[in-house]
Amino acid sequence: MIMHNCVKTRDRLVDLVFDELGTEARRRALIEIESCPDCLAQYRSMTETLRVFDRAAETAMPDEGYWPGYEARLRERLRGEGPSLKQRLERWIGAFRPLTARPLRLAAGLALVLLAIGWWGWQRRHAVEPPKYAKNKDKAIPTPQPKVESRDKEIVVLPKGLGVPPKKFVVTSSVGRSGGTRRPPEGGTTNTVRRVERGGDIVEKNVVSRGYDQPLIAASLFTPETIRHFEKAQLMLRSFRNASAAKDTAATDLAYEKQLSQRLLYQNILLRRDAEMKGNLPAEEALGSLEPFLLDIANLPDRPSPDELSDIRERLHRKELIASLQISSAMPSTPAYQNP
Amino acid sequence: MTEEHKLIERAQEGDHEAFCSLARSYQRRIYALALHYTRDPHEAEDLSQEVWLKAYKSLGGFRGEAGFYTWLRRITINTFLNHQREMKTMYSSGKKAFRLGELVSLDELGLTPAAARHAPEERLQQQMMVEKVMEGLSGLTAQQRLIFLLKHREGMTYDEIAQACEVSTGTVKKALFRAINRLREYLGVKSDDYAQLCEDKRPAG
Repeated sequence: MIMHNCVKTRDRLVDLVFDELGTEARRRALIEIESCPDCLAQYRSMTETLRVFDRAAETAMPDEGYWPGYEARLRERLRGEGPSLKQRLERWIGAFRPLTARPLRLAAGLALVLLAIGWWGWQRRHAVEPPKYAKNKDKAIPTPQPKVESRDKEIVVLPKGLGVPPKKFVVTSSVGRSGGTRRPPEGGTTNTVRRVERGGDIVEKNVVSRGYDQPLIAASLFTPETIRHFEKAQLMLRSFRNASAAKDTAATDLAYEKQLSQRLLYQNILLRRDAEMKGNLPAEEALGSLEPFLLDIANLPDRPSPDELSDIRERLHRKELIASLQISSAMPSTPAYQNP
Repeated sequence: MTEEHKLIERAQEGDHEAFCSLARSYQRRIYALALHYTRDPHEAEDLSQEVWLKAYKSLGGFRGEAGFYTWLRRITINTFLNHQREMKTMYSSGKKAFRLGELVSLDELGLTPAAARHAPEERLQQQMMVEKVMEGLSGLTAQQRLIFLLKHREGMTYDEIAQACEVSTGTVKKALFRAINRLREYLGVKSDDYAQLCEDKRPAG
C-alpha cells in the first residue's frame, strides 16, 4: 500500500507530463495519481492543456503557399550577405597563385625576409626583461589583481586559468629615493600615479609599464572602442563584486553600478552588433558573455538584498569574467594597474 | 554520405541554392518555434530568417560531430536569447497579443494561417483558440516561453535546456510548471472541472 502525498505527487506532475521520468518511475507515478481524484484531475488538465496547445500551434502555422515566398526572401537576404570567412580565406590564398613565376617568387621571398627582420627588430625594441619570478615559476601565483607597491619592485600580473600567455608588467617606483626619478628603460612608458597616502599626503610615483604578447593579440582582435568598453565594464564589475551591505541595513546600495551597467549595456549591444556585422567572432563572443551580467545588474533593484546579489556574484566568479576582461582590455599604452 | 551531408558541403562552399534546400527541411520547425516565442508572424519571420543567416555564416565551423539539427538548434537558442536581451533593453513591458485582425490581414504577405482553410465557423473557433494560446504565452517571460517550447516542442531534457539557457534545472522545472499553469488558466482548462468529474464517477459510500 502506497501512502499518498498530494504535495509530493504534484511536485512530480511536471516531470510526468513532460516525460522526464523513467519507465518504472512513470508507471508508479501513474498508479499513485490514479488513487487520488485531485491529483488525477490536475494531471489530466495538464495533458489536456498541452493537447490544446498543439492543436493551436498547428492552426497558427501558415499555409503551404507561404513557404515559396519565405524561401525567396531568405535567398534575397543571403545574396546581401558577403562571402563567409572560409570563402574569403580561400580567395585570399588563391590570390597568391600568380607567385609561381620565378622573379615574383624571389621578390616575395625578399619581402618576407625584410618583414621578418623588421619584426625581429621591433620585438628586440620591446624585449621583456626576464622577470624575477622566472626562477620560481612553479610556485603558486597569489592573485590576478594588479598591484602597485611603494618600493622598487617588479610586479607580475598573471590572470589564471585562461589558457593564454601571461600578461606582464614591470612597475618601477621612485618613491623614497633621493636624486629624482629613475630613467625608464628604453621603449618603456612612464606613467605618473598619484595616490593619497595616510595623513593626506599626495604621493606621486613614476611608473614604467610595458605590455607584451597578450595585449598585442588583444589589440589585433578588438577595436580601441571595444577595449575601452571592456575597461569600463571591468571597473564596474569589480565595484559590483566588492560592494558590501551598509551597516544599518542588510541591503547593498548599487544605484551607481546599476546606472553604469545600463549605459554599458547599450554600448555593449552596439559593439556586439558591430562585431557580428564584421564577422569578428572573438569580439562577438567576449561581448556576448559580458551582456547577461550587464543586463542582470541593470535590472537589480536599487538596494538589492544579499540573496539577489549572490547569484550574480557566483556566476561572475565561476566564469572568471573580470580576469578575462582584464586580459581583453590590456594594451601597451593602458596598463591595468592605473586603477589601484 | 547522405543527401544532407552533400548539401552541407556545397553550402559550405558558398552555394546558396544548396543552403536553401537544407533550410527547406527545417524552416517550418524553426518558424514554429519563432512564432510561439515572439507571438507575432512578422517578427517570427524576421527572427527565423536571422537564424538562417547566422547558420549560413557559421556553417564553415560545422564539423558534423553533432547532427545538423542539433547544431542549428543551438544557433536558434542563441539567436532567441540575444533577441530576448535586446527586447528587454528596448521595451520595459513587451507584452504583445496575437490579434485575430492580424491573422486576417496576413494575406498581403501570402501568410494565410492553416485555419483559413476550414469553414468560417470552424475557422473563427480555431482562430480564437490560437489567440487564447498566444495570450497565455504572453503572460510568461521570454525565458519561460523559450524553456516551455524547448521542452514541449523540441523534446529536450531538463539538463539540455538548463545548459543551453545557462540556468539551473530547478529554474527549468519552475518555468515549465508556471508555463503549463498559465496556459491552463488562459485556455480555461481547470483541474476543478476534472475533480468534479472524478467525484461524480466515484462510487457512493
